[in-house]
Amino acid sequence: MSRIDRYQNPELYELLCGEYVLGTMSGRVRRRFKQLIDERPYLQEAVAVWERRLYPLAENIPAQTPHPRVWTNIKKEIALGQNMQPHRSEKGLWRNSFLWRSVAFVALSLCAVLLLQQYVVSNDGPPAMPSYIAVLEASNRVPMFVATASRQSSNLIIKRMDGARMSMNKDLELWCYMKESDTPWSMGVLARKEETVLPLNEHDWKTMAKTRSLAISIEPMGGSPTGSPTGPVMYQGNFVSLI
Amino acid sequence: MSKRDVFAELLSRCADGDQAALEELYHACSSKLYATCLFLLKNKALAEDVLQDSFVKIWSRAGSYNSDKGSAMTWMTSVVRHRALDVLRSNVNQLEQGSEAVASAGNVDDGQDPLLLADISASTAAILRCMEQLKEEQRQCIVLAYYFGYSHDELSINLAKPLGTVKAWIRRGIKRIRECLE
Repeated sequence: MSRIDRYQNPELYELLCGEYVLGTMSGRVRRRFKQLIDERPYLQEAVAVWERRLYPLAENIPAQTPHPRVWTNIKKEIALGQNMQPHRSEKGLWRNSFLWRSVAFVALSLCAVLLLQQYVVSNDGPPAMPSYIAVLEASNRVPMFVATASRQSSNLIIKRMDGARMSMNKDLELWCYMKESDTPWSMGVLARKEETVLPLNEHDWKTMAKTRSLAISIEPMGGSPTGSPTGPVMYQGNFVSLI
Repeated sequence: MSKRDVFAELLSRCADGDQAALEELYHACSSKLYATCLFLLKNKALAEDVLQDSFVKIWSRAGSYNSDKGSAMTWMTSVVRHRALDVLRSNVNQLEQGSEAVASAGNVDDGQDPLLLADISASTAAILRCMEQLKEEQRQCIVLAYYFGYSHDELSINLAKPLGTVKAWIRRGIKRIRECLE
């Protein structure tokens, strides 16, 4: 039975919707099934029916009062209209380092094949293994760029993944955020091709060691005129040391 | 006006940009929704983050709530549970952290059986009656999955049963629940 046929078999898709609502699907299967639900109204209907069946189970969980800071943060986020922005409030998931590490780990796994290809394909000699890596994600957590710095080749390579869009009259600029400072350091404007290679001198290399995250902002052609991001930061990711 | 109608009315006011309505909704529902997060995530910081994200989403999507598809509480539970499950599934170390995370959650008693708790509505009573009719292994899998967020793989490891067996138990279990509620 083909994949499409599977989801048009009413008994099967009904039960899969039940499993989705129950929550037993693994992360990958869950994401894939969610995509199918978004595309198919009959699956949305089936999910709604299962929610009505199963969610009354939640009613008998004993109530727990959350810390007052949660409401303070919600008010702050709503007041600033940050729910429409790519960044999140201070206590939001985006800044939660524990979660960040988990998300980064998953994203890194997703990108492993791509990285291997990158290193096998782009080097004639023995592949230069990366010393640092960052997976830069959009606000919806979809990885859009992978940045790797290699001590061996003294390069910072930024690879654009499928789906990342480039505006005709704007440039994307890469920024390093240091561990002990909120002031970003420009690493330059990204090339319009799929891969940007930035050579790293000794000073740059020391900067890499002190970098906690990378971010990409939209800037006027030629880059930020001020030395700091002037447009929205569209993608960001933790800079993880592999050495 | 029933509690359900009150929540739907508050959601409708949220859709019109009334922040006081969101505050009322939060104070009325957050402790139940937070408890759902805490049971699933077994970690206070993550549960708070999910609750925060969910209420921001409830605020921004209040206009999409359709009372024909279910109660306001069902819709809000859906927002919270899906967010919590996404976070849980992205946490690859969840199994290793298990007991420590539960301990750090403090208020959640791991041995608590949610099915035994009192003060329930008619719809809850109905599904609990159906749960009682399940075979023990089906009931155990569904409780662990629904309340504590166990995936197929985690159930297979924790119950020391083949993955296919666990999947079959769950599928038969939810089929029986469906038949029982019809």
